Amino acid sequence: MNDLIDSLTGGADKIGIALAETGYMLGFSLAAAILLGLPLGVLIYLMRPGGVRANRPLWTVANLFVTIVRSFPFLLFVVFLIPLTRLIFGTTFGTTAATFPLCFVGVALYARLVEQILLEVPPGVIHAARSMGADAGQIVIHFLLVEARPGLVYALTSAAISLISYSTVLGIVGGGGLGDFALRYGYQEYDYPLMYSTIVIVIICVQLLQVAGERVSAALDKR
Amino acid sequence: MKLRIVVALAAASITLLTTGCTQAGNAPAAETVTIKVAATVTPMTDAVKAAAEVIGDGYKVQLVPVSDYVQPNVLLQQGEIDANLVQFSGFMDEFNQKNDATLVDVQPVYSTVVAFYSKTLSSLQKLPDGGKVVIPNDKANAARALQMLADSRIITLDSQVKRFAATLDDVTDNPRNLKFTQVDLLQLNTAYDEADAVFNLPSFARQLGLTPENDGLAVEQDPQFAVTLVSREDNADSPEIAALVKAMTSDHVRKTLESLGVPAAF
Repeated sequence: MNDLIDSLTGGADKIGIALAETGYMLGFSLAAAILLGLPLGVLIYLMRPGGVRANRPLWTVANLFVTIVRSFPFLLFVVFLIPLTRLIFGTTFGTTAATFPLCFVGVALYARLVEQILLEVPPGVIHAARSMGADAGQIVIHFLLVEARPGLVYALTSAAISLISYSTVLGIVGGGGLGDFALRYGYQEYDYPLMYSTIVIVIICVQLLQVAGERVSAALDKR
Repeated sequence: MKLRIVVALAAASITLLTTGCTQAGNAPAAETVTIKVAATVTPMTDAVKAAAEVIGDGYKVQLVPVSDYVQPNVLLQQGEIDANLVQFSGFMDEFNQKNDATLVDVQPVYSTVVAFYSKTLSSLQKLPDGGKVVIPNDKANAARALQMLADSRIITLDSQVKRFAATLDDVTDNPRNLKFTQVDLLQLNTAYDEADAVFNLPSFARQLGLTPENDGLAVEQDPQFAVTLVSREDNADSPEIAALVKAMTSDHVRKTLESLGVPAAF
């Protein structure tokens, strides 16, 4: 117990920094997921063969992008993106540069989840929208997204939790964060109390995200 | 009925497995003894493979590749492997101390000549104000890097901290306001392209065409950091470890290491 208290008080300020780094990486990658992943998921849904706006070539490209990003072993994806990261940020190291590959994963992950959720919207909703004379844009904004809101929020929660997990790898490029902290100061220095208490902090963060996601999702569910 | 068949099959397979194991355990001494040796990356893996090629009759060396520096010691302590080649003695001592383990250093294999490299600077003294310095993110190598900077009078370390034990928190004076970034060992080569000075190990630097002798701005080759073959208290004096040491200190291993730009430590 004393060991645990020593570890925690000794590492408290560092844990705080690590928590902030995780929050930073998660914040930007989630923003990318919403701003780019959501539209991408909607496009994949609309352009799929037999979809509202079927467009096979574009659909294939978008679909392939999502599949490739999601297939890459994440560590190697970080390495693969190094030239592009350097071009954009001038460096490949540090929390900001580390966030870049995480944004790609956030976009691809959320796009796929969005597509799946939209596929589950009953076709009747689209038929009804069409019979009212709605165009593709109106179908998406006034019908699809409204109908799918609870699921989209729930999926975003899931994506956020996966992104926390992905972010643990980013220590290799000096990204920091809680996972890297647990690995470096806990595991690699055999400070198991510190390692497990950091993991408990991650569990608490994930649990808070989960509960928040469930609440928002339930509040949006008008069914 | 189906359940009976499943149970019968399970029983049969357990019998087969256990008899199989007993037979292996009772094997006559004349049969080949396999020595399992864990290693992580080059040149450690190369040294183990080279030793495997010249191991004496009656023995076989099996390389167990592990991509982590803690697990080779855990596996060794648990008896799942017979030796490992991943660390210097100090690293093993720390593992022993913090995990009540009984690992033993048997034979230094090669020395690690670490150095600072720079794409733009000809000397560490030319590091600019606010310069970017990249050092490894593991404790042992970070301490070596900081010690080199302190020895070159670029930074000052807390005098209370033992030599080669400092962390970034122990930097008491940084007159040039250097910005330190800690990255994984495998990312040091990437960092060379963008930082003002990067600490690096010889095996990685070599991939960039850099050698400590020609390109190192500051070089350190302390014998305490020789990468060492490690085994357990209970097998350190066994014939198989003796055979492994003989193979590991052979000319073949020496030549293999030298071809990788790494000086042998035997």
